[in-house]
Amino acid sequence: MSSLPTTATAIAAAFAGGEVSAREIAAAALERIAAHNPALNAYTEVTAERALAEADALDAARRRGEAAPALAAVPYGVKNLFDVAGMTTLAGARLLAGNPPAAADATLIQRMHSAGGLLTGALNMDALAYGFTTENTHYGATRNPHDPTRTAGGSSGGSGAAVAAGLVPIALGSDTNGSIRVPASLCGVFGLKPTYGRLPRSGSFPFVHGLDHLGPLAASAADLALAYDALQGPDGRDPACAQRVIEPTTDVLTRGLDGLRVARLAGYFDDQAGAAARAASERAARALGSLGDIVLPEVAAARAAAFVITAAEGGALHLQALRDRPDDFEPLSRERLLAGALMPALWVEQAQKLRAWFRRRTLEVFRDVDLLIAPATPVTATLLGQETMVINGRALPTRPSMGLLTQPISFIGLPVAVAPLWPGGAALPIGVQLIAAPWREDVCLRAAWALQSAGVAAVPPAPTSINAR
Amino acid sequence: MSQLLEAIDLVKRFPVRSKGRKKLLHAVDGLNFHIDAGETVGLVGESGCGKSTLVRLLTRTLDSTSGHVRFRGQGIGLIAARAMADHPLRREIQMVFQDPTDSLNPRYTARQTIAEAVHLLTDTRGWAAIDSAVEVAAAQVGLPPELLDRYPHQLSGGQKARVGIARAIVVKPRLLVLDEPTAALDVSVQAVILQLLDRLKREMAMSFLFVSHDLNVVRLLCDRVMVMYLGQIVESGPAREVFARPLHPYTRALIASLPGGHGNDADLLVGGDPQSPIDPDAHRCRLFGRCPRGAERCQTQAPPLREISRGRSAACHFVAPTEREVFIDAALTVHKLHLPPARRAALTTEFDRVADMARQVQSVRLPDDTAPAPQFRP
Repeated sequence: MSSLPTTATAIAAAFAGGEVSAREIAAAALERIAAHNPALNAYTEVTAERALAEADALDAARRRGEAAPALAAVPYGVKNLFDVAGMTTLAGARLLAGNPPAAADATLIQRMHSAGGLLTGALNMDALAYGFTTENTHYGATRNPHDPTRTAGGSSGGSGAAVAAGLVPIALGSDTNGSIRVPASLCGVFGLKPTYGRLPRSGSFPFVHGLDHLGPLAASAADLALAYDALQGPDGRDPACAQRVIEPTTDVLTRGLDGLRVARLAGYFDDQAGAAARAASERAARALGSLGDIVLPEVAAARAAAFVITAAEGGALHLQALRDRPDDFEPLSRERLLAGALMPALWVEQAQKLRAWFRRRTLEVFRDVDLLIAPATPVTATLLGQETMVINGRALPTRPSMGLLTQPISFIGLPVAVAPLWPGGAALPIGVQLIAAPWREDVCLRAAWALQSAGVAAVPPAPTSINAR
Repeated sequence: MSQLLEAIDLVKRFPVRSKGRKKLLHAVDGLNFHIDAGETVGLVGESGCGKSTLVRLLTRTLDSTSGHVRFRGQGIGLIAARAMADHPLRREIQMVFQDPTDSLNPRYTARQTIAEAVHLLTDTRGWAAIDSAVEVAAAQVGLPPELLDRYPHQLSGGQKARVGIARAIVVKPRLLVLDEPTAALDVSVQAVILQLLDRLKREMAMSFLFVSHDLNVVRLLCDRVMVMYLGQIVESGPAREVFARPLHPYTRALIASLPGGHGNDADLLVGGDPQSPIDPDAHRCRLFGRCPRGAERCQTQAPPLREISRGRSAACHFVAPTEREVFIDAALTVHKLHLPPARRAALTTEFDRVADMARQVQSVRLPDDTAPAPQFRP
């Protein structure tokens, strides 16, 4: 298309060096979106005017001699559960389509704006973030850029597809049970689910308060760190935000893994993984010098507990609307929300207890190890509409099972980066989870960078024409 | 009532060859049921569902692959089929065959046929004693004494059927197994034989197992009914209740297809071939593909036979145990929610999924002092 830089790091550097204007970058991004989005259905709304206005402001600031911020002129998109000033926050749900427009940007969008980012639009997702496939009955399915007959993963499927197709180098998503990591894995991009409480969620539509995380998806490990650093910082409006000071990762990214002890998660994480997923996890473990395999206790029960808490809290959140406007709900998740609202309190109490226990037991592992490796999804992208998938000879329902490997980790809030692998040069990617102790996103990101530098993980050049496939 | 017969995880698989590869035909696939003393039980299902194999397993003319059959508390599954002929239990379980012509020795008179059973299976000895037993049995089945010295070819179909029944009851079994007892008879004769069986059931202190694809036979005669499909029991319960309110989609389809029934067309099976009994997918409901209610879950999780309410069981995801139904309905009422049937069924499926998850959580024994802790803090 052009010789314009494509990664966020390169764009910001080219802009800072005066090689390119923000307007040129914005126009090129909007052109790519216009060309490819109809086939992908990644965007539910394109904010062209805003992107161009933000670009013009950056160009004007540069003419005034102001220093370029970290993400200067970097186009990005946001999952449509983020508030964007002047737009109704959909959260993938027709249920919310009649709400008034948001008065202000979400905190993280404000931070992207301050860092020089150009907001290109809002991205598709599973309704109310309840799903792993972005098969949205009301707003259409998002298609996988590597095979448009397949899912982009979810619930941040629009975010994964937009980055994988090269429309934007950075997208923001949310992850309650795997909604950043699943699309990163299935679309073949980098993703970061930070520690629970690290990034403020103010100005985003909630799902499960005690499990919701926000984070970036990106076209490279360096882009991921760049975005994450711009998003950090305390916040007074999200009560779960831990108010930690900014702990920059961009500076330490290239340090490699010197001094870090690495292990691979076996047991459940092998049993619930197909051959490609296991191969990816083993390949990453070899590349990062894994010391061996570790088996965590009762992971299946931890995943089950995450499922219970999610259904209960999600159901409680939407109970009033389930009563008043059931027809506006996504049929694929409506009755699951309802079942969650009706379940006995005992089940939730037991799930919360298990969570406390599982967290304590898992944290013990980090006395001996700094980084844990596991596959991000059991299989590569499934076909849109596919009801069952087969893992090690067992047929499982596709939509809830895609999160089997991500759920136990977010359940206890650990930070995770996903790096995309292409086992055996396959046409479809699959991600590995790079898991660290609480607040050690730097370790996750260093591992992602190391895998990319070693050529093990990669985000290949965007397909030049998706329509031609 | 005490249990007369109990089948536990009863399995019969036949090795078959398909496209040159060895496979297994699952004729009887993990049956669990019981027949009480004095009870009349109907076993219904289309041909090929495994009814006849089950009968042969119960009458010990065929060895099971695995599982147990207990009769009066004693395991009979371990008695090899070929040893059964001389076993004392042989008298206690008697069989009335489908075709009275085929099952009678053409060179024996009716009297000789009935007497032979007395001679082989009881301690009665002496011509007079045996003949007396034969005449009592003949009277019980309504066979006039003057017909006793006729050969089968000199008897009508209904008369031959009476001989077959007399031969079985003359040894005073505890369980009478009747394999399609009226299928080979003219319609006019069928009704008469059904009346006879109904009278015998009330007069004689024994249990009956009626095996039939004819629901009317079962409806007329049975206390309880078990519905079989592709080697498995998919529904069981009191006959009156099952016919009035069938739970399983297959039972509903059987009843809806009865001539003159109050069938609802929506209950009929949808197009599509039945699944093969050869190496069936253990995770898939056997009815999937023909079931009007088939859903995603039915392909990945075979519904187990479970008790729905007292005495009633069904193997269908869309049929929920009463306690759960009561719970869900109560919760819906509390929350002022009213769901149309399709959503109500989907809710049960989702509720089951969450319940499965909760069970997994409950399976972990946690230390007593475990309590939810606060989130990570810096």
